[in-house]
Amino acid sequence: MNISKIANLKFFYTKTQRISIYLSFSTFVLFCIGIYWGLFIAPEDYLQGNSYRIMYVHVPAAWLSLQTYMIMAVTAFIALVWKIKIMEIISIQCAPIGAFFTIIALVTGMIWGKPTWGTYWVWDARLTSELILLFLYIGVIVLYSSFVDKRQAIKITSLLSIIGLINIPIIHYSVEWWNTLHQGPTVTKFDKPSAHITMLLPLLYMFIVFNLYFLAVMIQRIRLGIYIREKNSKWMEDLSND
Amino acid sequence: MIEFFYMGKHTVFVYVAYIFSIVVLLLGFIIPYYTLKKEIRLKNDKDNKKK
Amino acid sequence: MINILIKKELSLYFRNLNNIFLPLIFFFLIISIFPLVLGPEKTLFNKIIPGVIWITAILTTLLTSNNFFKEDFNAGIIETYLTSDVSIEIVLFIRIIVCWIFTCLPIVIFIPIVSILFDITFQSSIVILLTLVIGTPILISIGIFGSALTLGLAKNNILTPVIIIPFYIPVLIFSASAIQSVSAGLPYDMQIYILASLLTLVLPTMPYLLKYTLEISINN
Repeated sequence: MNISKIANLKFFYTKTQRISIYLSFSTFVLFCIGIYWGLFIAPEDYLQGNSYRIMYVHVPAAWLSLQTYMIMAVTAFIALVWKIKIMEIISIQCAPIGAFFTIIALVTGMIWGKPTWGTYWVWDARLTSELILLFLYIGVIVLYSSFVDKRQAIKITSLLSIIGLINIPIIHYSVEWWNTLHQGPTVTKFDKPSAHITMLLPLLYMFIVFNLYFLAVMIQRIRLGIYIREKNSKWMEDLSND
Repeated sequence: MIEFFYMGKHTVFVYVAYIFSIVVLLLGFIIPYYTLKKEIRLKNDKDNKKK
Repeated sequence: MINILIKKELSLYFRNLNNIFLPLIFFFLIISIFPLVLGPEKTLFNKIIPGVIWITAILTTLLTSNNFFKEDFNAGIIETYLTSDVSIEIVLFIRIIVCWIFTCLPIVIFIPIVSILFDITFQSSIVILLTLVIGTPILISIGIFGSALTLGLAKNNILTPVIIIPFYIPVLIFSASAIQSVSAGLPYDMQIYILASLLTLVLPTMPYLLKYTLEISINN
């Protein structure tokens, strides 16, 4: 059982060395294509002119920020129940990635808000929930770094991630309730533009590219995690002597 | 040429948003990449010192 | 058996009377600071008093429940909890209730005084009382969970509040909203029902969750 776990990590570390280079490079290229598409090819919006194009980075970042938290919590659960090492590494490495996505979503949201609604920040349901999500990520990161014994750190942090996941729908619902109570039934601020396929297609494309980015960074971070854990083990030393 | 890049009244906002996202995404990739390299280098230095 | 547990917990609290009065005094202190910084206009306070009371309640419960496991951890008692034949979930449940009795019940009892200080109508006071009675056990339970999470950490710092406050936000929103609704003459039952359902979700499951967390924290 022990041997298969180590073999798992070694397998991952050695096999991903070349894949990660190709993946990272192609993600970069696809990302550039997506940026060009979103900025110059997609048509101008009837209401918002060209500033709606911020959506092509804001919305995928927001989706990914939520998705990353779910992945973090699910892998945390698997790590706690089945004690699989690589799941522990994946779970804790999701946190900084997710935090970056959340920061991008918040800042681009603010930048989008200024031309569209005149203010940088509004306490609407989505932005406020996103801000709380950032606090949840920061909590996980800070809790993990406070423990000296990293094995205990990962267990406690996994528990926090899982409880946080349960809390996210509750927070989202309560913030939405709070928001409609104070603003009345106005249109939610950052509704996606309705229906036109030439505007939605680059959005879908960017979502896929952001996911590829997530994969590429995840592989880098898993490799970092494996190295830190196993740097004193025999197979890692053999590898660096090759 | 400039007309091609013109994004309407709020050009600055669009470009600032995009550049910010690109910078943060790049940072997100570069940080683990170079941290791994640094860790490997540190370990090799420590091993060489011991030898 | 349960009687013995309850008596033991109560005696622990009565031994040190600071436990009873300090949270209450802290609550009033923080409440009193708000007028000092915001100005004494009574009309301003009508708007913000629900928020002020609830933020103060959050601070009080956070700071008191933070230390829930500290003494026992330092004395190494937690291992004996986990290995004894008494069901630890019942012990923890009783401890949570007693903690609430000594930290939040005094606050609840003194709400009429708060009403006098801030000119709160009778109806609003009732709702404030209701939300506090339902909401503070939730806050205490979550705060105790935070204490269990950070059990292994030596320094008593600001980490636990940072982790726990996002979990307080739903309780905060619904309680403050209920109090605002009643002062605007609107119905507030939905908020109360939601608070009650949160309480029934959190309070029974917390002892089991705490037991699991303690087992992890004791570092086996």
